[in-house]
Amino acid sequence: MVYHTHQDRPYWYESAYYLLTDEDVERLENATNELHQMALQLVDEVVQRGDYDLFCLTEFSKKAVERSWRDRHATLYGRFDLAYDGVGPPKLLEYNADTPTSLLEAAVVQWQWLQAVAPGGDQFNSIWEALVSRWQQLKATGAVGSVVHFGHEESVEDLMTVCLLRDAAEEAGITTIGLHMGEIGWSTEVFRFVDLENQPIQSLFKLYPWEILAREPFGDRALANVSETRWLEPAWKMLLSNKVLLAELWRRHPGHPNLLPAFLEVPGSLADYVRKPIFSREGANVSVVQGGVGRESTGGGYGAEGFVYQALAPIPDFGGNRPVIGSWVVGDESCGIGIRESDGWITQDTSRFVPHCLG
Amino acid sequence: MKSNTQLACVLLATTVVLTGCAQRRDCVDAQGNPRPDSECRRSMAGGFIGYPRYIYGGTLRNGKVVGGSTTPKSSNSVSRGGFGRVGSFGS
Repeated sequence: MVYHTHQDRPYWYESAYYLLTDEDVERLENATNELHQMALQLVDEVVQRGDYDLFCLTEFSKKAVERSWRDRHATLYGRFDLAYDGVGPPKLLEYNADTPTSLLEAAVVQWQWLQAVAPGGDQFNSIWEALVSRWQQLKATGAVGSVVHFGHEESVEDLMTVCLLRDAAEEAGITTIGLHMGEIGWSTEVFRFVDLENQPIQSLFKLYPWEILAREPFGDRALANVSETRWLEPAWKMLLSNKVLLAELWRRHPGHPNLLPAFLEVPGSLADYVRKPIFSREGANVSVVQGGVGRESTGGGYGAEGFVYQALAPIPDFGGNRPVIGSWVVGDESCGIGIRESDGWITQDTSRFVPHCLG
Repeated sequence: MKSNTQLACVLLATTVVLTGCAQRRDCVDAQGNPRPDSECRRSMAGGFIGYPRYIYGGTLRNGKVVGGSTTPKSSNSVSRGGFGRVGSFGS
């Protein structure tokens, strides 16, 4: 694991661990599966009604979402971030549906930790097995070809995630080819995206957000070619990697035990809430308001598209450590968790990863 | 004859890939030292923390590849550089 320390503070933190019961796992698993199904149902409803106005999508993006959903383009993975205190139901904080990371530590490193400190112990973690199985399934059903390209940029965390996903794909018998997003070519001979050998890219996993990609010079071509090049994650994930999802889920399922009240406008009824940009990553540009007073906020370059206001979650405080559960879905099944701890309310890319075991 | 034909095709392909009609491509480490092409192919386009990776249009000087770009130049039929910006995009 290359990324283990951030500015002299540990990112991988094994001086503590979380002990979960079977009941905890069942709650987390059930909540994750239910949230996943609710998210898919939302995509279906939005596409059926053509009701994209809230999601800040371009016309090309809307068409790509529609086409990819109607053609049932496959998904590989996603991560729900949940607040869970071990007593009440897990609550959805957000859904990292398009480019989730912290995968290596959740799938592999914490398992290695468990083998080292408690051989024979157990963990809510079959993420690696699920990934290999999912790649096999995608290959067998023709959802991806026998060669899959992996597009990414140079962030170490992104590279670790892509490396793991490539390993899982190779394990499933798929040939993988990596390239930087800037190396992807567009051929005017075959009207397809091509790799560095000028070979058409049939299947492309990208650790690169749709909302950025869509606005780049090749964006319209990507959106117009969601079937010619099969993208992972698929274009319909644009509806789910968007914080509008939180408000739309609450509107459809008010009072659902796994949801927090969330709105697109400042909620007059909420004194304690979190303001999140519609598009944001790694906890950037998030503000926490308690009793009408700003308590904590982060900087960043997001927020131009507007904000979502979500009731402040009951994140437990264990001696100043606030854990958030990253609950992984591979294909359509919940398959494991990773836990990130913060000193404050907002989980960021620097929040430490703490392993867990079952007991 | 068949094997000779295949060999010729392979050599031709390699020449085109490595020197191309348009642009030179080198696999280099972080110090600009040339590395076998296989390392860049095997690595994840850039490998961990960016290297080894391809440099396009560079020049070999005193055993090191200098200049050039990490993005290949567009050709008549293939344009590149339409995606990509510096940053971390995981969530």
